[in-house]
Amino acid sequence: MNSQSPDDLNILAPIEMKPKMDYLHREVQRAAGSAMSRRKALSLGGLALFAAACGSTSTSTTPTGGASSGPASASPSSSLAGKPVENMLEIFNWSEYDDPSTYKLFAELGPVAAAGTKTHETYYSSNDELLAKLNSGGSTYDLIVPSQNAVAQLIQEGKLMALDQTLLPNLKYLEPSFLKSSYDPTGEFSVIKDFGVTMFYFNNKIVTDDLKTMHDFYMALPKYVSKGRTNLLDGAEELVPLGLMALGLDPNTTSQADFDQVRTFLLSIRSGVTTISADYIQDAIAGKIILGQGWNGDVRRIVQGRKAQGDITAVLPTGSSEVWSDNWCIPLTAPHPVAAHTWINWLLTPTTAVTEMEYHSYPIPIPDALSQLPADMKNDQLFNVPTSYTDGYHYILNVSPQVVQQRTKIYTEFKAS
Amino acid sequence: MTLLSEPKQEKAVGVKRRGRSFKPRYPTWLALPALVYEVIFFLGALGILVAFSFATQTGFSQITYGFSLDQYKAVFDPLYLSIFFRTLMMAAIGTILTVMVGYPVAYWMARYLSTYKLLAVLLIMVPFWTSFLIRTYALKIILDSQGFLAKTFGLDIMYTPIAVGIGLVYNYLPLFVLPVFGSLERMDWTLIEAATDLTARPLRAFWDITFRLTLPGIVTGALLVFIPMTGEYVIPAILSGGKYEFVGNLIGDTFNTAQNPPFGSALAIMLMVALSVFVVIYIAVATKEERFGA
Amino acid sequence: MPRVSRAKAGFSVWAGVVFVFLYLPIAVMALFAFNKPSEAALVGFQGTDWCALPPDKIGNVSVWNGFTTCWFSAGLHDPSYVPAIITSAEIAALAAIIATCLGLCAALALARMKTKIRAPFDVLVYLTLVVPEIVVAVASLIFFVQLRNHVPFFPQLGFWTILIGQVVFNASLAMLVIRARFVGMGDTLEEAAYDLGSGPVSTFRQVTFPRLMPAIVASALLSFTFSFDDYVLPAFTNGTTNTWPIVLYSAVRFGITPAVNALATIMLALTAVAVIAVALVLRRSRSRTTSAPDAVGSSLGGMIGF
Repeated sequence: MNSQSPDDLNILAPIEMKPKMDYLHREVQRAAGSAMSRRKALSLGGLALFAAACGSTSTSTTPTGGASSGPASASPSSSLAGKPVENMLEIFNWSEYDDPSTYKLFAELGPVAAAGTKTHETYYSSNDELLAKLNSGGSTYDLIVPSQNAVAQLIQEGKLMALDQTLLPNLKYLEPSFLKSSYDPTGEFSVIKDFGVTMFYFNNKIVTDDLKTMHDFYMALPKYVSKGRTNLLDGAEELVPLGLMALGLDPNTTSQADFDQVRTFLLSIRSGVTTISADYIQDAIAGKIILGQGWNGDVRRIVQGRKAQGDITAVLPTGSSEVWSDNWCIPLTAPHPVAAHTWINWLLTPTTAVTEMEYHSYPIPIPDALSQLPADMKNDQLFNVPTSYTDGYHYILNVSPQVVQQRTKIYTEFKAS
Repeated sequence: MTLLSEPKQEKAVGVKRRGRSFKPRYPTWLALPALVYEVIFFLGALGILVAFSFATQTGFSQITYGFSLDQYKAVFDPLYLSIFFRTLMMAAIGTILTVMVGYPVAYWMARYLSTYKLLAVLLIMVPFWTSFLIRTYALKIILDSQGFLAKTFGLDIMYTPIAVGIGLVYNYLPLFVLPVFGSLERMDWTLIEAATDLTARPLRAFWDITFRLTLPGIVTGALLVFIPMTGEYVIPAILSGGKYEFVGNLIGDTFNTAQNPPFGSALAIMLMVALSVFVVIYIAVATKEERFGA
Repeated sequence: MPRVSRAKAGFSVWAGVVFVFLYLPIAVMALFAFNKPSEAALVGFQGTDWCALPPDKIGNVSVWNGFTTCWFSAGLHDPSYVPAIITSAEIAALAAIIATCLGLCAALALARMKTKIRAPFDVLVYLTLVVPEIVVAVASLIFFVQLRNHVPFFPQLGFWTILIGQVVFNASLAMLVIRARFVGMGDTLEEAAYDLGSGPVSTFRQVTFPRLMPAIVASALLSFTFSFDDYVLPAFTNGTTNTWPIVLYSAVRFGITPAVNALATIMLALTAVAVIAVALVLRRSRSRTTSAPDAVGSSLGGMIGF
């Protein structure tokens, strides 16, 4: 198997070719006017493939298949305008991430109801899992919800569809500063779903120090571990960049010296860590964790859950910490892109955003929606984190395969020691 | 008294039959569907893994094929070796515990139950019909530091290797008890009676006869438990609070988080190599067991 | 014999302890299916159905808050839970049938074959049992996608690919289970049937097959069980299909709600009814003859002997 030329055997697909093929597949499908298997479409589109491969002059390379649907535009997005909503919408999402009424009301929207669009949802539990599925090439999802690091990677790999802004008129409600981001500089490929920050909390009956920064938090771990359970967020992409930020370093560093430094630092506080888990909310509400990291929406729940005891202090770290976002994206291979756009546009409606925020407790940057929220939400710093904090926070990205591997190795060593 | 004396009879007949030409056989092609299936869907998938392990990563989800041994060399990092070693140790401890807990139960079922034997077998299997995830979470409630065990008996073992051990035993017990019960069930209990009649002490009779005769069953059951334990990663993740690294976690992290299929494949193949020692024992014992029918 | 009865008492006590160990977590699971959301969570809640609260707003449900039965209806009405359970059951049933058929044919052919010829097949079978599931899962995902790209009839990732992946392991298991029984029971009776003029097909139908039945049932049961409870392989090869373990695992992010416990309890209750039925049948058969249950027990020994 290894004797042939390396290129022939690139099972994970020649990356630069894939978007073209997928785009072509969609074009041909559209031309034929009906869904067909990928394989069938490719054989049918053989001529078009040839044309697309040689002729960069994008004048009407009408795909074969009979139906003359006009010139196929070079940009997939602009060709979506005016197309009808498809009868299916396949969402690949985190579990329990949208209010049940959002689905119901979406189905009742005029064009959606007319098309009889059926919404189906499948779940993943980590960005890794999402990437593994998309990387395998067999994706048939219309809509995915990657976090910022996965968005950047998917854009780099050419796996995302450029969104058709004409189908997203409700983008006008979005806070302008969120239209473009460091992980999607042109703002073409993603629309923010919600965002949050990483912070920490402690039991103030036990932990008596005045902890202010992430560095304070780490240093308190060995001191208090004998008094009860301490918890760190799990995953290499959390542990290592958060450690780097505690040291005042760039979370997305590529420097070996930085990695060595953070490794030594993390191993020095290792003995202060009882658990490394993202599954901490229930336990913290039950009062089992005395000192832990968490995402602000979860920490808000913990504080509310312990209101009677009043023993939880939540700290938005001064200095550096993580800000993260989850985003709506459409894979390039999406079979039902119009329905997907319609969904995103629906989620950008202020009334929908209000319902959604009340459901998942993370802010959506839509001023008209935020202003409609009850006071106990919009005035709560743990929900509506002031920009005075977030200005110093950073997005964590999958910078390069090498960086991801460095992080994973440190993470493995941290867990194994 | 239950006994299944068929194997004995068969052996006796077999001796007499020697020299006769006739022996009922089924056509070899009957094995073909299964063979073809496993070759395509198992070896095919495994082939991809082997190809990966000799490749090098050139980008996210992008690799270049070739024949590089770098990934295998990387496995011999002390960090990974220690994880391999610890996994094998942990699985060994889990297996020994499973044997210690499970063997007496299998013995009890085979020796002392008659009417309710089937019921006992079903009762062993029923826990398997609730999701392992729910079972493990329920176990977590019991082992909790502020839970029943900790408060009543002062046993605070949550997030320790002991908790992982209990979780492993809990989830793998049926897998051990059933084959061993099968092997005890096929044993000829009249041998024990004969031995005790000949004034052998019960413990001695057990050791010389029961244990020896069922040893192949024990080894088979133990390996059936040991091998999947080494690849386990959800149970250790939940019950150790995510800080007890198994090879399974490492392989999962390498494929998913690090997005490095070549190294993940090399790790997986090295695990298979390490386990192949045990498989050789397994095959030897399983063949022997079949030959003697007990 | 007092010594024997003392030994019997000892073993019975140990068995009792082990069964308590096996069932305690399950009892806890069933108990918490009736747990109310925490008091703190119910403050300011208007409405009658506590269990309509979103999963992240039910507060601490790992301690006992009070009794309610509303999780049962919440679980049964959840848009994703019940369909996922049905999908899992369908896949598990098909996997059990296919794996058992493949395993039966292979066991028949291989059991009396020369060791040297069947050795490669043996190695293959053991290999499928040895490779860690996470490894098979990742490799299968990539392999299935490639097959889909190159083989016209190969299904898209989903129901069928989950099934295909699970049959690999289960067919091996079925083969081992059935072969152990087949070898163990010897060929005396078959030989006798041949001698009495019965052809190969009718010998199989009237002699071999009925005697293999316990092993066939056992391997089908084991296959069903493993397939139904499997998370890792389906998590990679599911495409857009939800199975019960996948839905459960992704729900862990917000903590498993009592609705999940309620559904598991319902499934457990259904199983319990089946088990009690078996117990009653055994009891009746004992009152008629004493030898019948022994036969059941004995065949059972063969059926699960690997």
